[in-house]
Amino acid sequence: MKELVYQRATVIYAVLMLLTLLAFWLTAGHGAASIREVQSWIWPQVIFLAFLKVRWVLLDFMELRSAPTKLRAMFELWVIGVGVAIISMTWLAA
Amino acid sequence: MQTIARGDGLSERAGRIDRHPRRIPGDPGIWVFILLDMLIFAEMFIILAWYRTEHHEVFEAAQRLVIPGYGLTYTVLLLTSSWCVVMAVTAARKGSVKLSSDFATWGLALGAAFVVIKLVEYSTKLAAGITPATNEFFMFFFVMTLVHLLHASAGLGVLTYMRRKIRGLEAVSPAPDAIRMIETSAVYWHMVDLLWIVLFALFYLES
Repeated sequence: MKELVYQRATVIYAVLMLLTLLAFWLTAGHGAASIREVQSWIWPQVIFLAFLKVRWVLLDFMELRSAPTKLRAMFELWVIGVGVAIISMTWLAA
Repeated sequence: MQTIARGDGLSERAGRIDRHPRRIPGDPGIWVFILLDMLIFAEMFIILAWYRTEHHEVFEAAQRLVIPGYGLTYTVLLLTSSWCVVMAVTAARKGSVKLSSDFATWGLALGAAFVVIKLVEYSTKLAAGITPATNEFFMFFFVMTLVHLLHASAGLGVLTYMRRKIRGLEAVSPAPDAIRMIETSAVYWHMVDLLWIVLFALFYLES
């Protein structure tokens, strides 16, 4: 059991949970207000954190880290393409 | 660069032995399905982001009616469920059938909790008079989360199938085909998780 749980995916799971709580604190928890963050920057950061999490799910849960490079590249492109498109639009709105 | 497959499971790339040959997890066909599905969701995500740009005030006002605690609960449930499925796959590969089956059961239970709580959230919204016709934000909210919920509901069937395959491992040894189907099921469930991560940020976290 210990041998099973002590693996990279468990560390990634802990990081994903921490990033989720961080994004929640920044927005719903009004954490960004307490650190006097510029409001227009919060959402792009939250979206960035979301796509960072998505990438880790792809690489470590779905095992694309050890998959053929072309397959991995297609999904990396999805993350970058969609992430950049959404973040650039949030700046247009700001 | 030419890669030469060797009989001992290693591959040789330009004269250098690669001790960790790259492999496709699960059935290659699932990756075609996942890529197409993710492209459809990408289109929806970008249209929603464009709508937010065009109608920023309406979006923000409507978003205040969404309870972020629900979103956080769903995310914790799906991430933990996904981790359980990773553990189930690893245990299955090691031949720990009982442990693998237990992890698959937890993954399934957490996924079922997601579906049930989502239905509770829909009913509270509808009871409060908030429907897809309320405004465009809620049209996106209901349509996109419902499409995701359908994926999650199908995922419960997929995880049930995965658990049956795991329990069947005792009878066949080794069973590379069964392991491949277990991996295929797991990959589908992780896709449900990753799509939710984006939906959580778009709908539940106040801009």
